[in-house]
This record gives sequence, structure tokens and C-alpha cells, in this order.
Amino acid sequence: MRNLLYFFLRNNFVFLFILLEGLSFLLIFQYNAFQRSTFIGQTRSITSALQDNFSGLRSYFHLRIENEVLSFENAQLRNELAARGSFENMPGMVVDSVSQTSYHYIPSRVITSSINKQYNYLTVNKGSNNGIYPDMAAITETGVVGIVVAVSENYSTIIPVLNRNFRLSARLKKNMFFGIVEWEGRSPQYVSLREIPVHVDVQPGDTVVTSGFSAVFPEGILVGTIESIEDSGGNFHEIKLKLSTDYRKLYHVNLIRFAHKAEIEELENRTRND
Amino acid sequence: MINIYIRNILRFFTVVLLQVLLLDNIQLGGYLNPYFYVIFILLLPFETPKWLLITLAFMLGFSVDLFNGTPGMHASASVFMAFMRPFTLKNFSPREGYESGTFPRVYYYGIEWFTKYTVILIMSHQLFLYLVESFHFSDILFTLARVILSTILTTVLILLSQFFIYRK
Repeated sequence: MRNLLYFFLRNNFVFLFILLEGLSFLLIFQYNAFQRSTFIGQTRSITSALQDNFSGLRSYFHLRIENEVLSFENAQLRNELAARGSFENMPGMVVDSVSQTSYHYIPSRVITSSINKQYNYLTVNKGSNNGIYPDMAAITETGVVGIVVAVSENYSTIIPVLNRNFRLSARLKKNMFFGIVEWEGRSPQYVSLREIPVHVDVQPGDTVVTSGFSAVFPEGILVGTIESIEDSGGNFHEIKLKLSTDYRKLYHVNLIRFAHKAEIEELENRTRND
Repeated sequence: MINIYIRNILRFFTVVLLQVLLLDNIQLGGYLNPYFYVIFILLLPFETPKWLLITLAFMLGFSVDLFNGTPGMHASASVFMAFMRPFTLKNFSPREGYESGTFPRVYYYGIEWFTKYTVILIMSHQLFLYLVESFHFSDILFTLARVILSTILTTVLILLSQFFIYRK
């Protein structure tokens, strides 16, 4: 420190020169528009070339946030879509108050997931604080994921299609016949669709969507496409279904709150008790 | 001894006022401006401490800048000129060195010495000033032409002043 001070004192002329020149140039750039714009223009051309190269690299670090923003936006757009209804709100149609905003989408991020067990579960980073409750449906942009089973304050667990306890009511998109989707615990890409009667015309490649019978999933969410049909002489087709959602790269999940769920369940219970 | 301080302070204000009130209105050919005020730096005593020299140069340039509305330009050029002065003096020093009680003037060291000393320092000042003013090297030849012509003009003015105003 002492030596440094001596060094500055010994060369005070040079340092004073640099200091005063620096001050002068500060004044020049501060108050003289032409010099400032020239200076900025010259340095910009050098730095921008460097920044271009770096921004490509840097954008990868922002991908995660970008994704979250996009998934949030997706959820909002879905909310708007749900609010508009499919065609009930067309001009001239009588507006059905029940169909309005019956589904609300909440974006969440998968924290843990497994696909290699017989009873797989997912954990997502939204909980009761975010308005999540059990039996909410979970979907992604590509199709169904599962159903919320347990909720803590900030997290919830989801039972996905890839769990042997999972049952999902689904129907063929083209002719409305419905069956049950369940997983046999083998490949994470395939599930089976049961209880489609043999007389129904089913072809490989047909689309299977949710039936909307359970008051959990909205109607028409993609489940998968039919991979193959094996008939062994029973009353029902044995259909192998390829899931549209790839559970191995699940990251963002939208949880669906169904506004009329309690009402429907109460009605159903009353019917059953009678 | 106090006389030197008062004389230099008076000279400071005189050259600044002369520059901004009279000489800045003279523009030969629209490009050339005689920058007479730098004579203050030329005529400072040999014994002036370097830090004072460079600080005074900054204040001088900044004063001219304030009147010209170009903050920093003359200040930076003057500081550069003051920075060059000790090296120039050392380079042109007579064999015996500069005698005490003398000043850097024609009267003491002759016209040849004074002209060399003046041209080098004025040139450094003008070069710096015009480069900062144009601020790019694209028409460097034009800038250099301005520097040379302006240096000649200012040097002639300063030399004349030595014979008419600063006789002793």
C-alpha cells in the first residue's frame, strides 16, 4: 500500500494527466452530441459482434424461465378458450351459463417423476396455496397426464396414467364409443383400451380422447392413438394404445380445476343413494 | 516573487477574454481559428511544478470551452499540451540548462529556440484539438491540413505578440 502510494506520488504528473484527460473526455461525451454518438457508434460495432456470439449462448440459460412464461401463457390462453366455450357462445346461440369458465388451468412444473415402477407418481410444484385440491386433472399440451391424489401446501402428487391403479374413461374420437384406459405396467409408451365392443369399427391410427364422464377431465383431451388391435374371441377388442404424452420428458403440467365438480358429484351421490 | 503569481493570474484572464471575445470570432476560410490562449501555457515559468502546470492548463482550456459551448475539447487539448511541455523543454534545453530568473521567451532564449518550442507545443495542441473535434480518422488528410495551417497562424500570432506586447 505504501509502495503503491509512493508509485502514484512519483508519477503524479502522468496520473494527473490521465485523470484530467479522462475528465475532459467525460465532459466531451457528456455535452457534445456528435462525439458521443460517434464514440457509441464505433464501440457498438465492436461490442455488438461479441455480444451476438454470447447472446446465443446466454439464451440457453434463460430457456427455463422462458418455458415457464410460455406455459403460464398457455394456461391463460386455455382459460380464455374455456371461457369462450366451444360453440355455445356463437352469435345467435343461447348462452349456457354452465358451460362458461367451467375449466380453469393452473400451470405447474414437475419436480420428481418416475416411469419405471408399477405404481408411478409425479410431484409438481403447486399445492393447496395455489388452489390445488385432490382429483384435479393434469394434462400437458400433448395430452392427459393423470389425476392429483394428494396435496400439501406447496406441492401435490399426481397419479399418472402409468400407474396400475389408474383408470381413465376414454372414447374413440370418430364414433364416440367409450372404454377404459389402463396401464399394464410394461412399456411407458403403451396402455390398453378395454371395453370397446367387437362390433365397433376400430382401425390402427384412430384417435382416442377423454370422454368427459368423470367430471375430472374435460371432454376431448387427447389420450393417444391406436397402435394395434388383437381380438381373441371375446366380446371386446383388446386394443393397444400409444400414449400421446411422453412421460420421459414431462416438464410442464397444467392442472385443471373444474368449477362444477362438487355440484356434479353431489348430484351423482344423491342419485346413488336414492 | 509575488509579482510572478499576479502577472500569470492576470495573463490567464487576459488571454481567455482575448480568445473568447475577439479571436473566436475570426475564422479564416471558415475553418481556421487562431488559438492564441495557449500562450499562457508557453509562458509559464520554468520552475512551475508539473502538477500545477497541468491543472492550470485544464482550467484554461475549460474556461475557453465554457464560452465556446464545447465542454472538454479545449480542456483535453490544453492538458495534452501541458503534458508535452516538460519533455519539449528538456529536449530543447541549452547546454547549460535554463538559468534561474529567466522565462521561456524570445527575449531570453532567442527567436530560433522560441519558434521550435512554440511550434512543437502548438502543433500538439492543435492536433489533439482537431482530432477530438472531427473524432474519426476517415478524412485525416483534411484534419492534418487544418492542423498545420492553424499551427502556422497561431505561431505567427504568438511570435508577433512577443515583439509587440511582451517586449521584456
